[in-house]
Amino acid sequence: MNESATRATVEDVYDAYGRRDMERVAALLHDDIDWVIYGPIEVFPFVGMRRGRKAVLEAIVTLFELFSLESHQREIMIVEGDRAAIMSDVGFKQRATGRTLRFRVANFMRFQDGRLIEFREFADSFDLVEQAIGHAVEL
Amino acid sequence: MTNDGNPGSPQVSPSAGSARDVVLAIQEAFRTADYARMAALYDDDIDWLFHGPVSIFPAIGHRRGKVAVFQGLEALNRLFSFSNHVTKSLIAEGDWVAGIADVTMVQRASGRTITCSVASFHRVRDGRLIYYRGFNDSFDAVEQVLGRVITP
Repeated sequence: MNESATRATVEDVYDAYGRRDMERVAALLHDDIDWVIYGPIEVFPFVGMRRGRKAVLEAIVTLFELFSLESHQREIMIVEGDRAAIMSDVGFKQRATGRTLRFRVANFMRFQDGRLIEFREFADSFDLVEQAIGHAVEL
Repeated sequence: MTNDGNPGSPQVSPSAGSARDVVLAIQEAFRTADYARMAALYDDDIDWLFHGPVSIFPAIGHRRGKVAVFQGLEALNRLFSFSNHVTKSLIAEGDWVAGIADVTMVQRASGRTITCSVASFHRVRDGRLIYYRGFNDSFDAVEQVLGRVITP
């Protein structure tokens, strides 16, 4: 994929995700996608390593059951060949508590045949846990 | 928006072709603990932030200027020695570079080995680093430093 195709597919992924259009999201995932969101799975059950489209879709559905996307403001997108790195400021509302978690997130994507085949997501997971539980973690 | 600066979009600058080389040179200098070389590749006014709990990692957080950044790195070095830094992925466009590296460090006080993947975003201007944002799974890193599971 060239840069313009990669950029367009990244936009498509975020657009489908933002609209919760799971059919479109599924169409953009490679069968063999290698997916990791770094963080504690005991607090955020949708994080961790997932392999394959079905497992990734299950994780996204779980995320949307627990949180709704309130805001997504992209700060930077870097594209080279079939890879992209995106840093954004996001807000997710925790459905159970009404709390909004605001944080900066880093996404790394690689595409193959126009579909997402590798995904890594990083955020300050310690801060996210404190925001999710509504108080400082006792150490 | 966070209030620590909006980096904007990639710009093709006269130094665009060298952004990847500058970041690779910084990473190599870090690997070899050549801090003089690292410092030469940092802009005096660098805007630097590693996301994570300052209570556990006092050297991180938002730092402005080369002096503040290297005071932080010196503090970090007093607590940890870095035994490995392997770049897994590097993406460059214009004056921007983002990457993922596997990092291994040893906590000097306890001898514990801490391993993590670190994601970073860099902006280079005139051959020097002017902007840095770093991320890792900070919850996992805290558990490794404390040597126990945290129950939130």
